[in-house]
Order: sequence, then structure tokens, then C-alpha cells
Amino acid sequence: MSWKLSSDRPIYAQIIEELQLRIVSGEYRAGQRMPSVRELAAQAEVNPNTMQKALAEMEQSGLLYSQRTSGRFVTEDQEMIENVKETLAKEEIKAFVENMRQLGFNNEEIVMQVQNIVKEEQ
Amino acid sequence: MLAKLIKYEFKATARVFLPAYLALLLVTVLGKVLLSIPPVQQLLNGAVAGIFVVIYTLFIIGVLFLTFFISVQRFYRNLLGDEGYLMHTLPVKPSTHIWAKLITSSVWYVASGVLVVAAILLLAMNMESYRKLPEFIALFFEAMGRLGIHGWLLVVEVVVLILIEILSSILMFYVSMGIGQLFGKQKLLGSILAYIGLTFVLQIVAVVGMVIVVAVGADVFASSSQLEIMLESISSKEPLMILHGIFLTALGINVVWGVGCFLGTRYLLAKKLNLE
Amino acid sequence: MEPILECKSLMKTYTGKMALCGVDLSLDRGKIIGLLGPNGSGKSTLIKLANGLLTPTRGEILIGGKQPGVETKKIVSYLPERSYLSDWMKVCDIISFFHDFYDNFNVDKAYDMLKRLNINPADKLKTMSKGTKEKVQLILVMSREAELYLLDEPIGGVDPAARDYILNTIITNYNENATVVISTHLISDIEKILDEVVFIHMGEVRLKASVEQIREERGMSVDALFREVFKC
Repeated sequence: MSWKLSSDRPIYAQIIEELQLRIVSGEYRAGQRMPSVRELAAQAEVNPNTMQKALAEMEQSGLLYSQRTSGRFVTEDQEMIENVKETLAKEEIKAFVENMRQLGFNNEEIVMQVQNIVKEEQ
Repeated sequence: MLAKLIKYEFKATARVFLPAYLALLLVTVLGKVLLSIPPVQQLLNGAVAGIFVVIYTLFIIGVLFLTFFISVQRFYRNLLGDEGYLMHTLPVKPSTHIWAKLITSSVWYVASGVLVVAAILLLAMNMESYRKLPEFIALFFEAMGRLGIHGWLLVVEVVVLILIEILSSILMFYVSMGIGQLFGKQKLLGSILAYIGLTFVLQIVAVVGMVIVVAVGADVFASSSQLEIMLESISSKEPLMILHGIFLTALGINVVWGVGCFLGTRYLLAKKLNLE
Repeated sequence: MEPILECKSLMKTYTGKMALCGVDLSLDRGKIIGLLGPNGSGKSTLIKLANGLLTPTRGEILIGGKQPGVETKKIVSYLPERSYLSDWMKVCDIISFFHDFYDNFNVDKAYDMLKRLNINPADKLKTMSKGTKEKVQLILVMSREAELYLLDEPIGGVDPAARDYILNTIITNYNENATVVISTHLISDIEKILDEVVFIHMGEVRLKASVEQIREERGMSVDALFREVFKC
């Protein structure tokens, strides 16, 4: 559970990406209570104010919600989590396709390569 | 805060003084035993006794020097050295720091003085002299009385003068170090030069003060032109007045000087502190 | 809200040498701020002035609106770049010393941190390594519930594991209204925990900015920016 944050991009954006990934992968399940800002900041070794900013932004987008006294929770809206998952997947694939093109593959070749790798691993 | 500072000041200094005092006491007792057992006395010829006296004298000088050294070192190191970074960031006024150091130092000065006198008396006197001691004191007071001097008053005067002298001389070291720290990296040299300068000033003040007192005293003599009156005055209170005058002048100079040094040190620590 | 630390045309000279030349600076409450600059740039001088260990040559420095004095010393917790503890004392003696003089010193917190860093409270400082001594000092400083922490080179001489613990201590211990100022030249180690940075060079403030702003606007780390600004 380590946080790999690079210091040449805004930290809060990287925190949001990391937390989205953790929610999508089920590390933080729907409806689960999130650790406190301070705890998360200490884990990620970042400034608590930065962590606060990232969490606030995720609350705005609806992936997290807060209850006044008991803290912050992951949304119970399974559909929303699925949507995030798909968005992340799309972004990953787009980046991958972009890289493959740079290596000189055309669209069919890319699909072929992917199918081959998936088969081999089975 | 003052009480707490004094508590820690004693903790820091007692770990040096108590062993030193214990050592002095042990050497004294050892000497006493060696010198009071007749066979041992015969065994020890004069040379050995002589060596013992030399060593003992060194011990006494050692304790007195230690008292002075620790007093100066505590101020220099604890307030103007690295430890000053902690002491000056405590929520304590500079004057409280000075008082804490001054009070602790004076207590050790008095303790060392009393201990040294007691040790010498213990070593030098035997049962005979102890028995005669009250008699001697009574004689001394009687002699003083004949001169028109009140024995106890003299004792009190001397004790007060010594105490004030101790306080003002410690404060003079403090203010010298306070000036010395203005010199940045050369603060030890600065302190020594400041001390020499202040000593020079104090000497002049003292000499001028004494001259005035004696001159005023002499004036009193001179104004009584007739020989008879002069003789009468000598046999009465006039010389005593001069003696008292000298005492009081010395006391006054010391008090004023001490207060001046205190205020100077306080100003330097509060407004001119520079721990580089 | 009133800034926790404010400098107005602050100037300091040491026997002819200029250490700070007219610094105007204002630091807000509730921030972790990096005071960054090469060696001899005036970082320590600024921090010592804030603690009243030095007297300004000209201008003034205010802590919570007050000049350094008894009142400001109650709310400032200072870690100097040198060892300021008496060698003959035991760690537990020093803790009671701090407890005696600072109303906001939390003894339990101090013992807790000692335990976590495997430091025996009965040990004398004399027997400790330089790194351990630095840890003890940091524990003492962070165990105070202060409004302004001034940490001069807190991670200079310690090993990476201890450094992580120290940064963690800073993150978890400070409260939302307190400001922590960390002076260092080891920027990459600490930049993730900072809100703001102040670049100081040759006694002048070159830059004061939010670190996220630097990353967003310039697309580079604070460390990289520092290297660019102070390129030799």
C-alpha cells in the first residue's frame, strides 16, 4: 500500500487518481468509512491541507460523501464506481494505444498483439 | 519561574561543588588524623608535614578558584553559548535569568568561604584552643569596646560589606560577558577586555570616593584648630567616624556599582543579544 | 487573521557582513512552510531573529503581532541547528525541565515518541550519537502544542528511516492553526509535505509561492525550480 507520488505534478491530482484506483479496485469498498485526513496524509507523507483538498474535490464529484459527525465514506452508488472504473480504463487504453502507435503499429496490429498476449497468459 | 531556574541552576552546579567539598573535607580529616597521632607525628618529619601543608594550601586555593570559575562559566556557557539557545527561548525575562545565576553563585561563594575557614580552623586548632575560643572572642569584643567600637556592629558591617562585595563582583563579570558577546566570534576576548576596562573605571571611582571621605574627615580635624580639642576628638569618636565613613563609602560604591552592572547586563541580554 | 510571523524591512548585519537585507515577509497560520536557500543565505539568521536570539539591526520582526519576548516565547517552539542541551542530563531530566517551563508541553506525547524511536529516557545525552541527540531535540520541540514551530535543518544528520519518522511526526502532530517553518537545503525530501515555500538567497526573499501552484503553473518540482533559480 505505498503511495508513489511524483513531485513535478500537483500532488492533490495524483492523490485523487490514487484514491479512485483504490476505490475501483475494491480496496476501499462502497459505503466503507475512509481513514481520517491526518491518517491518510501520514500514510502518503503529504501535507494534510493537500490531502484535505483532494478529498474535498472527490466529495464534490460524489465519489465520497461525508457525514457531519462520523467522517467520510465511499459512495454507495455502485453505478458511479463502475463509471469511474470505465473512465479510468478508457484513459489507460488511450494512453496504451498512443504508445503502440508511436512504436509503429496500426490499429489491427495493436488488437492482434493484445489478443496474443492475453492468450499466452491463459 | 525564578524558583524553577534556581532549582536547575543548583542541580547543574552541585554536581561539581559537592564532590569538591567532600574532597576538601576528606583531606582535612586525613590531615587532622595524621597530625594528631603522636607516633605518626614522629614518623612524619618536618619535610612531610611541609609537603602536606603545600598540598592542603593548593586544595584550598583550588576550591576557591573553582567557585569563581563555575560562577563565570555558568553564565558564559549557559546563557551566551550553545545552551543559551534553549535558555533564551524559555518564556523567562532576562532579569530572572540574571537573578537565578546571581543567587546561586553567591550561595556557593558563601558556602565555599565558610567551608574553607571551617576546614582551616578544624585542622589548625586542638582541644585546648577550642576551649579558649569563647574567652578569646570575649577579649576581642572587650578590646573593641575600649576603642569605642561596638563588636557586633563591626561584625555585621564586615559581613554585609563582604556580601555586597561578592554580589557586585559577580555582576561585574556578568556585565563584562554581556559586553563581550557583542563582539560576535571574539566574545571571550571581548569579555576579558570589557572586564579590564571596567576594573580600571571602578578603581578610579573607588580612589576618588576614598579621597573625598578622608578629605572630609581631615577637614573635620583641621577645623578644630586647638590642640586640646584635637586630642579630645582623637580620644573620642572622630577616628571612628572616619572608619564608618570608609565602610559606608565602600558599601555605597559597591551597591551603586552592582546595581549599575545588573541594569547593564539586563539591557544587554534584553536588547542587544547576539548569539551568532 | 493576523499573520503568525511578519517581517518589515528586516535587516541584520554581523560585524560589517550583511546577513539579511530588508526582508518583507508575512506567514499565515495553519501552514507548513519551507524556508529554502543555499548555505549562508540567511535562513538561520531569520529564525534566530524570530526567537529573539539576535537583535535586528534595522526593521522589525513580529510573532503574532508582538516583538520577540516572554509572550512570544510561550507560543514558539524552536529547533536550533545545533545541540543546545546539557550533556550531563538524562533525557527524563530534560523532559521535566521542558515540562516545568512550558505550559504547553505534553509529557505523554514526548515519552510516547521516545518509545517509538527506541530511546531510553534514563540515558544520558553524553552517551548518545549525534543523530540520536537530534531526535531527542526534535521530540522535545514537537511535544509542545505551540502556534509556531521553527525547525532549523531538522533532517540534516539523521538516517532515512528516522527522517521518515520525523516528517510523519510533523504531519501528524501539528494542529490546523499552527504553522510549521522548516528550513533546509534538502528540498526533495520534504517538498511533499509543504504548503508554501520561501526562497531566500544572499539575505533577500526571492520567491514566496504555494508549492501546488509551482507544480501546476511551471510543471516542475520545487526541487527543480530551486535548482533553476539558484543555478551557479
